[in-house]
Amino acid sequence: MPGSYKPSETVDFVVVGSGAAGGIVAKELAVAGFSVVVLEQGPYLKAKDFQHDEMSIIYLLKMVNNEPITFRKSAGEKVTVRKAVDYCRTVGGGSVHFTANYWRFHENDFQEHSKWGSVAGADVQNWPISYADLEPYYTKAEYDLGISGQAGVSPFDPPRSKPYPLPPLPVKSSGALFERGAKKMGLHPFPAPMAILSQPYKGRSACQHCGFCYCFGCEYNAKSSTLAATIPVAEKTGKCEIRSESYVRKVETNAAGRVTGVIYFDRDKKEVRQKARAVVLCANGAETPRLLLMSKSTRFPNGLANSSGHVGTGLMFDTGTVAFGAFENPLNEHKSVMVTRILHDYYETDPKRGFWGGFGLDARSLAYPIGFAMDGLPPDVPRWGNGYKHALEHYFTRTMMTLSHTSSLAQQKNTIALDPEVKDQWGLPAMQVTWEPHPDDVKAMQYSQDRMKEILDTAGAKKVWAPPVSGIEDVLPSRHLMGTCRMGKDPKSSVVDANNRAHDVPNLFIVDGSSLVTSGRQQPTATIQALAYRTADHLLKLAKSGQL
Amino acid sequence: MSPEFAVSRRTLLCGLSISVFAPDLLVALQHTHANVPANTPPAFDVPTAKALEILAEGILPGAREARVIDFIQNAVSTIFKDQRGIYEKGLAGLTEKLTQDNVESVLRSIETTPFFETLRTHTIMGYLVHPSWGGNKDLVGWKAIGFEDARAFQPPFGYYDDPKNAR
Repeated sequence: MPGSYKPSETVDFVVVGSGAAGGIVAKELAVAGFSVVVLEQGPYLKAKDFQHDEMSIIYLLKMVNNEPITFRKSAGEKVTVRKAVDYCRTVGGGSVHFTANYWRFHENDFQEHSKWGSVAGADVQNWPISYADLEPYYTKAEYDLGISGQAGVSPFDPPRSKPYPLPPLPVKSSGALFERGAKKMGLHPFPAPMAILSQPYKGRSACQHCGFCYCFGCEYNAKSSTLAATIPVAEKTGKCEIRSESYVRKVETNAAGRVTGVIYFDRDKKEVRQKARAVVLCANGAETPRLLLMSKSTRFPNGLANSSGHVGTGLMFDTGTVAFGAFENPLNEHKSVMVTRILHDYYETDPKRGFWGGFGLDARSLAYPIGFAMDGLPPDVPRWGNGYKHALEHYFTRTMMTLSHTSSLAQQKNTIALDPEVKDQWGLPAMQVTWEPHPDDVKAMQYSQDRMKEILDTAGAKKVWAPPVSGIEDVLPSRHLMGTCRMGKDPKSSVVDANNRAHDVPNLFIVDGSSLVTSGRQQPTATIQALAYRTADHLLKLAKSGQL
Repeated sequence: MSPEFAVSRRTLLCGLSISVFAPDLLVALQHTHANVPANTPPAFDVPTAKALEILAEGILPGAREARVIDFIQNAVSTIFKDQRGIYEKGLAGLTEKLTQDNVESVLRSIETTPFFETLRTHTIMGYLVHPSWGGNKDLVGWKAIGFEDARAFQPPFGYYDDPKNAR
């Protein structure tokens, strides 16, 4: 039985957002016996609701945010309404619709400033914690959620205390070809760690290879979303209530500067106040800073937890680019999970390459049928008529994609802010996104694309093509939303401390992509979730000793 | 295979009684196309629809057999009704001069217009969409390109992951 609370009751914790982080924090707190209300913007969809309908999910945006967002490249420009940020709006959040790449950060990702120094125009900082601090929580996440992979194959893997709980998923043709090309080049491809069950695990069924992972929810609960893995456990305690279609507009504080609860709109757009002893924000790297900025008060005139002025700054995005290869025989990439092989040879910064940062690569399927017909064909085939039709019939089953996941440098000028004019349908200020890549980010994208084309060529592709690297157009809309309330020791340059507690507010905690100090090589989910388990541990210590 | 079968097959295989977005769609279940509400008026009259069919077949041969026009008639009445004006502007003066024989040159003459882009997009959608939206009749589009929608697949998925083709 899920918990059930009245808004007037003061619950122990309100968790805002039920995604990759919120679904974990809620479960850990509820299992320990605390009362928890989780407020989720989106509806409560379950496995039985997930269908293979490309039109609904990809073109009608039925499971993602669809409110106006304004965008500009830099502060001097006028904004345009553009969907610069994409996030899943359902119970389980992004963990429901993600590809399920599950990469740990590497040791150097936590100390890139010490290792490589500053970069002009960027704001590279060390994390206040190390990989070793987070390692037990990566392991906990992998075992609690169910991650498939093979330890000890990649020479670049960071140290781990335990192997993956499940063996890797079966290789697809894209993975086999990627492995063939990369090995011939002397590189080290390895089975992708995926948040998808290769075997039954904890009462959930194994992946059936239906092919609808990317952007879709899993009809088998085989994807290790928080919807499948942790939220049912939280509800079973009787201590956790998931309140869906609940859109938080303000975190409330008292004269002492402590959080007292939140105000949200329910599904009928009526305002509700939920009181709580402590609040945990897990609303993602774009909505968390927006909510803090909307929560300004006389005591917190620049927004809540924003004495540093850094709420919303240092936004890091989902940088990377693509290359396509077509082969002689069918690959049938529409079957099974997106990714089965990845490569981390170019992960670390190498000054000889002429840019800061690095990247990981994955081999994957391209798109569902409509998306393929719109964007999947080589540029030299006709756009209509018999030639177009024949190209579709030839290429759909024979084409694969490689995707690079490149470093995104933190730059203070890249921000999430409140738009002064545009409002959403609740009358709240629209999210305003200011972002452009650092020149080194673009160099990393270009370099990575050249390597992907080499791998596809070496694998024996009959044809290799790639769109020109442009920077912004490669990235928007971004789904990896990082760095906007980053962790740090210094309250002047960071928003939360090393335990994800807001520097300015003792009973406010923030854990999601906004906490990340560096971007790793994208794939932030594993790190967000390890931080969520670690934050929950810390919250429990504080709550049990009366320090909240 | 009838359209009813295409829909109920999907519905059945998913173990579903109703669609994800049930509130809007409860009525639709009695209808051929589960994602199209019953009594949806077609967006265009018969002569216009005939012209659109000719154009769609020119853009993507096979569109007629896949009943792309059914998708367009429904979509421009519902999910894409904001794009109706693009059709009206694009079709003005075109319907009368269009024939089966001159479709290629007509398409060439409008290739850079917003109408062409919109019609191309909707034709592709109507050809490859889940049949619950109308279009892709008897899975004609999916079969042509080699896409299969199934609840489960087993390895080997393709030629190159089949151990017997390893090298």
